[in-house]
Amino acid sequence: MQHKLRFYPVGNGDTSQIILENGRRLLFDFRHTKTAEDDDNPQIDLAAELLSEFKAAKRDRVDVLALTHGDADHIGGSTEFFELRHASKYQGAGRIKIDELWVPAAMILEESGLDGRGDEVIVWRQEARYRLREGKGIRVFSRPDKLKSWLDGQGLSVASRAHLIVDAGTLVPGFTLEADGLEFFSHSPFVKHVDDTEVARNEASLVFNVRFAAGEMRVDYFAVGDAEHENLTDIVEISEYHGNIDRLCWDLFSVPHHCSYLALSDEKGATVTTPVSGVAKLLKYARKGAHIVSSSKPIPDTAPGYESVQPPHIQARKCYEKFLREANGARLLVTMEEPNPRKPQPIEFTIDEGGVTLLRNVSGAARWAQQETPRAG
Amino acid sequence: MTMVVLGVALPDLDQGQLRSSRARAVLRAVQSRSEFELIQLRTNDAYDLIVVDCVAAGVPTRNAAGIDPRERLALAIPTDDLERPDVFALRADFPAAIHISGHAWPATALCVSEQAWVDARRTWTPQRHLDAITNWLRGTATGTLHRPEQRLEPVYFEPPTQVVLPDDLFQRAQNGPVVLTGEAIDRRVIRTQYAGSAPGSRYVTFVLVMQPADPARALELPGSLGVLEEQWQARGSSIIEKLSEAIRAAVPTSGIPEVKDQEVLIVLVVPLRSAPGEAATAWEVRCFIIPHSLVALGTATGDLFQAVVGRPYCVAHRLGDGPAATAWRTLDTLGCSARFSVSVKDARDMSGIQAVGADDHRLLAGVGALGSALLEVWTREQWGLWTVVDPDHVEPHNTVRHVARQGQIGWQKVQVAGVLSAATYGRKHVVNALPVSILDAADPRLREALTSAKLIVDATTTLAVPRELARRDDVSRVASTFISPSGNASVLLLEDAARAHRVDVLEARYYAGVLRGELDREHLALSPTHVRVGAGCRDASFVISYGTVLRHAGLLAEQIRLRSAANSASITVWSSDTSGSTVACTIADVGFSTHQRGGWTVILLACAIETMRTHRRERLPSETGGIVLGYIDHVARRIYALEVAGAPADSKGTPSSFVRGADGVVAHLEEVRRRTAGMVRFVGEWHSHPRGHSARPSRDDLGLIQAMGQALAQDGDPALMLIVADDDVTVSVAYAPAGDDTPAG
Repeated sequence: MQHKLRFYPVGNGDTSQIILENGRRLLFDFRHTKTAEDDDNPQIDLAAELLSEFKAAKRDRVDVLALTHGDADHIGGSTEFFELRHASKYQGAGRIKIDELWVPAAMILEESGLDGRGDEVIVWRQEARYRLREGKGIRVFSRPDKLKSWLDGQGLSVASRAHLIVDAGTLVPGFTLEADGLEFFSHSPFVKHVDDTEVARNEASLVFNVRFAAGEMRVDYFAVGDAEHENLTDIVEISEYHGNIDRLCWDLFSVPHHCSYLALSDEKGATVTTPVSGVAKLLKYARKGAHIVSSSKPIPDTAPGYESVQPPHIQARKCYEKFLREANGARLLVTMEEPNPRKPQPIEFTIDEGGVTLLRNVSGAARWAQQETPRAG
Repeated sequence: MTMVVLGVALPDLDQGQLRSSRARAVLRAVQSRSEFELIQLRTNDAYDLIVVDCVAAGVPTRNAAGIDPRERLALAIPTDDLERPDVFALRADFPAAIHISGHAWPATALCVSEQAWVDARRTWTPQRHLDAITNWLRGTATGTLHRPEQRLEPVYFEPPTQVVLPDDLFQRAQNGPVVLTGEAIDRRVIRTQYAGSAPGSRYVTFVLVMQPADPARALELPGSLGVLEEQWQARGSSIIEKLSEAIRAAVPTSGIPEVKDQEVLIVLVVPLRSAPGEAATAWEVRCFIIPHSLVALGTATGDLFQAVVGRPYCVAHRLGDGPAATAWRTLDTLGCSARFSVSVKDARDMSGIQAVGADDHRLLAGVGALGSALLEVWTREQWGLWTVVDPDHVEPHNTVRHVARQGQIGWQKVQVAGVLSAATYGRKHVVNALPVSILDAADPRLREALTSAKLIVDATTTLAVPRELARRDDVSRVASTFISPSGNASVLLLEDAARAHRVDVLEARYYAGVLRGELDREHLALSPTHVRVGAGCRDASFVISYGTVLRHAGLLAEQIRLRSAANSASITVWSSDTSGSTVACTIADVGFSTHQRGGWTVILLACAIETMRTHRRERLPSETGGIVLGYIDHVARRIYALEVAGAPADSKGTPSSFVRGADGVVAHLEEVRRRTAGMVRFVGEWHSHPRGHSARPSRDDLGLIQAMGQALAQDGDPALMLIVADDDVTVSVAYAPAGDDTPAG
C-alpha cells in the first residue's frame, strides 16, 4: 500500500498531484506557462510532464481536478490542457478529461472581481456552471446565499443539487479511507455568520485536511490553496470549537501563497515573521517528522531577500522552519529548489505503513551522468 | 528531548575555531547541504565536533526502526588527520540499531562505512561523508542497510584469541550437550574437535546454547565469570546453570583427576534475531577461557568435590537449583573469538557451486599433473564425490607438476589424491582411490564405479582410454581432456548425456577441426624442445611449467563442471598466446555415419562428405577425387575417415574417369601429420561420380580398391575407398594382410 504526493516546480504557482495505490489521481491546481516550455527555464514544462506521466499510466483522465481558487498562478494554461464539457472548442484528442471538478462556490458566482485574472477563470466558471446545471461531474464547496440565488435563477432547487455541494466541516463524498486510503475533510471555504449577517469569507480558496491511510498508518496533509492568516485563524478556531483537532494535525503542510508572510501575520518581521496566535497554533499541530512544502521560487537567505515585496519571503520561511524544528519536524522544501534551482524536479512523497517518506533525489556524479550536459562551445 | 553532551561548546559557528582543516571542510559541506542544519560547534581532546540536525530524505516519518526524520548528530572529526571521522547520535534514546559500533563514548557511534579506514580515506570527501550519514539513517530507517549476507551486529567485540570450532557445531549443540577437546596451535589459536575423554584434554570445552538475543548495544567482554553471569541475567538467562549442568554431565561417576595446565573453554552459542518474536537468522558464537582446570572450576561451582585427598574428584550432590557455591564468581574469563571450520555448504557457497548435482558420484581417470590439479579444484569447491583411478605411483620428476610432494614419492597417485583431498576440509571427498588402470576389466570396484558415476573425466592423456570407453555401452558420459604438447592449449571433448556422440568420434572431429581450421591449427604441433622422462612413448613429459598446468586445470575444472550440467556434446580448444590471452573455439555439431565393412567399422564424418561434395561440384561434369585422411584403430577395428583432400594439380579427371595425381601429396600428408601430432595420416582414396550416376563402385573402382588394399597390406592396414555421387556416398574397405583373402566390401 503506497500513495504518492507530488509537488511540481511551477515557479510562484501551485500544482500538486495525489496518486493513490488504487490508481486514482487527483490534481490540485494547474499552472503551465509558455515560458516553462523553454529548456533554459528552470520551471518544469508542466503540460509535457503530466502528459508523459499520464501516458505512462495509460490514462486520459483525472479522477479529480480541484481548482482551489481562480488566480492565474493556480489555473494558468489549464484550459488548453483539460477537456471541458461546456464547449467543443475545449474538446479533442490529447486533452485530459476531468471526472470530477472541485471548485469553491465563489468560482460559480463571481461576476466581477476578475481584474488581472485573465480569461481562463471565466472559462472555468462557464464549465463549472455547465456541470452544475447538468448535475454531474462537479463538487461545489460551501453554500452561500448567493449560490442559492444563482440556482433559483437557473430554475434549479438547492435540494436538487445538494449532493454536489460540500459544506465546510464535512467529509467530501466519493473518497473513503477504506476504499481509497484517502478522505478529504473540507476546512474552507465556509460561510461565516456574524450577527445573522453572512460575512464574506466565501471567496477563500479550498483548504482540506487530506487524510491518507495505509494499513494502520494514518497520515494527515494540511492542503491549503491560498489563505491569509485570518482564514487560517478562523479554521483553527472553528475546528477546535467543533472538537476537530485531529483535522488540524499535520504530517505535511503546503504553505499558502508561495511562502508569503501574509499567511502568518500582517507584519513581515525583520528577520523572522511572528505568526498570529491562530496560525501559531496551527503550526504547532505539526507531528514529529512533518514536512512543509512551499510552492514557490527559491527562497535564499540573502540580504535582498529580506527586502522583497513579492513572495516568497525569507522571514516567512524562517518562521516555518523554526516551528518545524520545535516540533522535531523534518524539512521545509521549496519546489523551485529541489534538488537544485538550476533544474528543479517534482518533489515526491510516498505514504505507506512507515508514514511519509520524502523521495530522495540523487546528486553529484550520479545526477550529472543521467542528464544532458550544458552546451559546450 | 534529552541529548547526550559531548565536549565543550565553542562560542559561535565560526569555522576558524575548528582545529583541523578536515573539520572545516566538513563544516562547509554541512552548510551547503539542505539535509543538514548546523546547530553548534564543540570540541574535546580528540575531536572537533560539529553538531547538526540531519534531516535525511527517504526516512519514513514513522519508521519501525525508530530513526527520527530529524536526528541530532555530532560529526566528530579527529584532530589527527589519519584517524577515521566518527559520527555520534546524540539523542539519548537513540534506538539500538543494528549497525552501531562501540560505546567508548556515552553516545552511539554510527558505523557509516564498512570499509577499513585505511582504504576508505582514499575516496573520503566531506560531501561523501555526509552522504554516508544520510544513507545510514535512510537505510536503517527502512531496514535496507543490511545486505542479507552481512553479519548481524555481534554481542561482543572481537578479542585477540581465536577458537576454531567444528563446522557442524550448531546442529550438534541443538541435539544436546557438546563437549570438545581443544589444543593450542600457538597462543592465538585454539583448535577444537569432537573426541572422547574431553575432561582430560588441554582445553576442555563446553558448548552452551543460549536464549535468542535481540539487537542491542554490544557488550563489554566480561572479565570474570560473575560479570558474564550478570550480563546474561540481565538478558533473562543464566550461564552458570548451564555450565554447572555441563560439568556434571561430563564427569564420569568414577570421577576425574586434577589435570596440570588444563584450562576450561566455554563456547556460547547465541541465536540472533532482528526483533523479539522473530526467528533467529544467525548465530553468534563467543568463547571464553577460564584459566583453571575443570576440577578447579567444578569445585568453585560446587559441582565437584574430593572425598579423600589424592582420590579423583566426583560429582557433588546438589541441594536445590543452581550452583551451590559462589567462589566461581571471581574466576577470570578471557574472551576469544570463534571461527568455524569450512562446511561442505560453505565451500560450495563461497565457490559459487550449485547444490544440485554437487553430491553426484563422478570418476576421474588419471591423476597425473592435470588430473591431480583438477581434483584439487573440485575438492576446494566440494564438487562431486570422486572415484579416482590411476595405476601409477609418484616418480621423482612428477613433483615438478603434480600436487604430490617429495615425501610422497613412491606413493600411489590415487593415494596422494585421496590424502590431500581429505586433508583439505577434514572430510572424505574422494570416496574410492583405485590404483588400477581404468581399462582394467577385472576390478569389480572399478566396474561398479564406471557405471554408477554420473561423469567420467578422462585425464589420462592416452589414446586407449577414450577409445575404449567410447566402445563400451555400460559406462557413463565421458569427458576427455588434455593439455597440448606445447602447453599452449587445452582440449575438452565432452560426450552428450545420451552418449549419441561418443568420445572417439569427438576425437576424430577434433582432428578434422584442426585440419579445417575451425580449431587452432597449430596447437598440437610438437614443441621442438621436449624432455623425455621414462621409457614409454606416452610417458614423454614435455616442457610445461606447473603454472601452465594450473592455468589449464583452473579453466578445464570450471568448464567441465559447467558443461556437464548441460546435455549437449562439445569439442573445445582453448589456445593461449604469449601475452596470456586465451581464445576458445568450439565445435558443437558433430555429424557422422557408421559403416560395417568386412569386419571393420568405418566412422565417416559428415564434414568429410561435405568437403567431397564441394570438390565434386566445382569439377562437374568431370570426376574428381583425392586422398582420405584419418586413422585406423586395430584394437577397435575402426577406421576413422575425418577429412579428404582435393585433387592434386596433376590429376586427370574426365566425365567418366579420374586419376589422382601425386603433386604435393607427400608434403600435404607431412603437414597433416605435423599439425595432428602424428595422429592423422593417409587411410584411402575418394573420387566422385558424374551427374546421373550412382556412387556404386564401377569395375575400375573395384580394381582400384583391390590394388590399394594390396598396397596397404604391406603396412597391415585396411584400405578405404569413398565414392560420392549426386545423393549418395559409398564406403568400401579392402583388407588384405599377408596371407589373407582380399575382401572388398
